[in-house]
Amino acid sequence: MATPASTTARRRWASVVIAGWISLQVIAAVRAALPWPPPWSAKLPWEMFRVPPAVDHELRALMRAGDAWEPVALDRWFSYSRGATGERATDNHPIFFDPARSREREVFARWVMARLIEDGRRVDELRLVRRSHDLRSGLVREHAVGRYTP
Amino acid sequence: MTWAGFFFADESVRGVHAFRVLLAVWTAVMVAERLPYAVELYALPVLRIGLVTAVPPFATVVVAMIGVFVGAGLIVAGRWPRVATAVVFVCFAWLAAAECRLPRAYVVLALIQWFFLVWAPARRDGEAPRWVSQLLKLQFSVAYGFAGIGKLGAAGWRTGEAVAVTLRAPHYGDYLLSSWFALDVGVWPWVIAWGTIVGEIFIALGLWWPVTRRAAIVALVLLHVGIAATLRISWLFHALMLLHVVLFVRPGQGFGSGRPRAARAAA
Repeated sequence: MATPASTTARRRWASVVIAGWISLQVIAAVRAALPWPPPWSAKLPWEMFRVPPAVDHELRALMRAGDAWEPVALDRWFSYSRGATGERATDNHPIFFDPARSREREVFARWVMARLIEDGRRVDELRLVRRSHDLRSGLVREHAVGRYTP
Repeated sequence: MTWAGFFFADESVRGVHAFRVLLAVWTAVMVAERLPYAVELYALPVLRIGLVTAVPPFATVVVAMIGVFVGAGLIVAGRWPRVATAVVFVCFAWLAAAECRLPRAYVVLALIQWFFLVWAPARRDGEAPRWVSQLLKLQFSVAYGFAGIGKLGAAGWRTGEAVAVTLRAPHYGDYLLSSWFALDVGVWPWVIAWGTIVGEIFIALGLWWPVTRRAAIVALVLLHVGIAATLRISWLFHALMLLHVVLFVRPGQGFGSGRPRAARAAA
């Protein structure tokens, strides 16, 4: 049975949790309203699809063995698409957009080539290409991400 | 109403108990959905942008998955609910942190709700101070309130362009109704955008007052049925949001006016 002392202690703890939660909401609201750059300001949490992507991306890989090029099925290793979307981990990963992350792109390409070689495939070169579909204009473009050798 | 009255008045624990059981089932299903992709999501050394940047020991992932299933099973069976809730919270938190990508907003929401449930009364019946129930409901309302306010501040939502773009995105749109009908042109995007903004803000507020609760629940169901019928968003998201409805049902009062059924019948 709860004693008055234990009830008081429980209520005190509850008040700490409630105050902490309210403080976090107030901080989130204030940061969203601040006109300053991050990290002082931040977007409001729970802003689902506030700014939906205007361009749909898809990463494609091509491998060369001798003179012959053929597509590499990346969804063999990256097949999880989050619910009903068709978006794979490779499609919108920041390392394929940020010019400064060439080292991570190379690590990724080498990892893919190592898996292909493990399968007994000959790989002389791997090309990564990002296919971008502009949802406003309907324009589809291909961007070279990089060319890699084992 | 005073602070003490709002948070510490006694209330039936049935709603929180029902919510804990439903959230346990939801969490187990969510983890089960990830099972076939466990290696890709937790064990690959490339494309990691999650909370834990190093590849976690896979054994910890397996243990956490088992912990979620066992904990959820115990909660559904009504055995050791407090310990089981803590186990599910810790294991689910580790799975979210160990995943190669940052957790989605609805996973974060589920984690916050598990954290609150750790402090919820363990029994299924009777009354207890309602602070956990109120926090669960407040967190749910804040998610819709902030979502609605955020969209209100975005030019793309006020003009409807954000809806048009999302509906035609191959990864997210072009699905069922948005595939069968041209909802991304004409007045439709504007109508859908404002319906969403007003609906989200109304849900956030309307669930709290007996006179608007039934309409807010209808708006919540319509919003999620509408999203599910037009966008390729995980059904787990819709299920999580809809199962919160049990928190707003009062025993003997249903969803509606706030007057006990017997009093309504007498009137």
